[in-house]
Amino acid sequence: MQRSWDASAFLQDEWRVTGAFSLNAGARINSMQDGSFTDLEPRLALSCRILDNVTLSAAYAVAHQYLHLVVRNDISFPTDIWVQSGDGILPSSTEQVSAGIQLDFRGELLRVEAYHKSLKNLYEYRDMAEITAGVPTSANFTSGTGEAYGGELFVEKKLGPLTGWVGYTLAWTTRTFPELNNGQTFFPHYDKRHDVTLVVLYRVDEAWDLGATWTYASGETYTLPAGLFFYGLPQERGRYYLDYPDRNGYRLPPFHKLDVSANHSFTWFGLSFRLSMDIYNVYNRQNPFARYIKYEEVGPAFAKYSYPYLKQLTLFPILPSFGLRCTF
Amino acid sequence: MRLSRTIPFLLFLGLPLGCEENTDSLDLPYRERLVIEGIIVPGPLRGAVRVARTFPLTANNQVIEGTVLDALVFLRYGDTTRQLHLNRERSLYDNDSIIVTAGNTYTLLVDWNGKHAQATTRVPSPPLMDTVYVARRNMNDSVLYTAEALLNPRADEAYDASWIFHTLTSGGRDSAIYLDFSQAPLVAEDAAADGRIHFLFAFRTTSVVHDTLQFNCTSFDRAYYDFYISRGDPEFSGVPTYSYFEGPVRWNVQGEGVGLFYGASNSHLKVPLP
Repeated sequence: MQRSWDASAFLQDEWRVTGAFSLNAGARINSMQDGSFTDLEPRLALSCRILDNVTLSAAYAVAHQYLHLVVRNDISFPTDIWVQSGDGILPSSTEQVSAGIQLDFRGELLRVEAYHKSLKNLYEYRDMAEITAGVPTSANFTSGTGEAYGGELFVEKKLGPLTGWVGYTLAWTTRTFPELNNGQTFFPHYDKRHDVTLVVLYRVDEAWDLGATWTYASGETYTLPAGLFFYGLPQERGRYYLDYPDRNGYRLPPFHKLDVSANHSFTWFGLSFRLSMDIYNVYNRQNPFARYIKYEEVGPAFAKYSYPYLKQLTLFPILPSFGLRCTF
Repeated sequence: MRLSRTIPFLLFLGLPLGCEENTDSLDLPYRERLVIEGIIVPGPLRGAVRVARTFPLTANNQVIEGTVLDALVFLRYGDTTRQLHLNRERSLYDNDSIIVTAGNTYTLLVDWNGKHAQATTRVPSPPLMDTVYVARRNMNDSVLYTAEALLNPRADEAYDASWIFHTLTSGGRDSAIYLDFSQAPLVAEDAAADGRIHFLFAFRTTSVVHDTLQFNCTSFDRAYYDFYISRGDPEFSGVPTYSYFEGPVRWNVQGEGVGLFYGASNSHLKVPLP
């Protein structure tokens, strides 16, 4: 277990330059671990209403983080831990710029935004990291940089019996570590090219309302060997090795599911009741959580041998649930 | 004020929260790549490079070496690029007209079946051995020899050691007993406070006819150390017993290939036994 403290001070000013143009500027100073790390985080946000219902915006921000999510990308299972800065681990930092446009009509909203983020002092496990008692965890880490960029589209309908919103994100996230993947840039686990959320709510009458949420996301990346080979050094006996050409060179199938709900409000013996029925993953999509190769013994009893199978771990099939809420 | 309390009732139907699905209907990935095993030492380049290929994972129950005998193999050093030729007897590529020099950097270039791979190494100078101390202790029915060899390490190199007992027979022939303890290679970070790597040796024998003890030391390009440390259990050999947990080893071959190409140099010190 790790313990630390941090302190921060923040200064911000909202300045309405004209009726249509406003500026929000601020800065934050963070200090962690007896002043071992002290960082300044400036930020600036501009907003300009060019028409009654059209607003342009832009922002710039620098941020530091003293807790690191360290991802193990060299094996198939997600194996992530959080570690704090210190003991050779520097705070990670990001510099982000974004720009967008928002159209706000009566009852409908449309927002489009683009962003770019550069990241420094990211940490990951080295290849074949050895988790051994007495060896500091940080000794298994290697540092690198990252980049994230993309665009977001958000449309919302706020009025009427039928409301809802749809959000779509097109994004790229990359990592570059000199000691990993032969120094080649790779996509981390959480890189998702497409991410869609569609929410629909329909109020039938005073007693009934219905809802549905559909989510879709590109599959996460993962690492699998792409071959097998024999390698024998002159100094020793040879052995077989698995060939991993690319770090996170494979991508899981897309994740998608539909959740629906129906709520019925009624009164019984003077008490207000609300009966809710939800179905998670209506069409029972077998969304993969991880894929990995597992060797199993096959063959006749007198000549068994290991044979590889590609296994997939899935979570959460269709899950109906019911709820009754009584208010008194 | 209206008192409001909420009593939730959640009924879940008995469905499992997770499961393992066998997806053996999906093809296991396979991408044929080159496998390169190369070691170069100072002197004429002989028996230096083996070229092979990878196999599908499902081939794991067979003895596969996959040696490639028709690759184009070149060695580049400075402004010179020379071709290595197949030594059919040993299924290795070499060219003994190339004289490898310690301290130089060499790049191996391999082309086969439309695939290209390469790796670069520096051939280290012979290890800078300092001193070998030997002590003898007579036991009841045997002799215990202990020895300590000191070595001045250099950055970006790794060191491996072995010991040899030499005995001059009555016929004037040198009889040698090789003792290799298969220890992991050591690097500059393993040096003691005096800045030197201490190789320790102890051997108990009932034979007291040995004349000299030879300390053999090999210096390697650091790439060999990275490989050795990252590959896990050094004792492992034979049919693979992989599980999903086995991850990537740190090789230094780049491009459409995998493997290790590294330089090495050897030196030794011989001391008379007390």
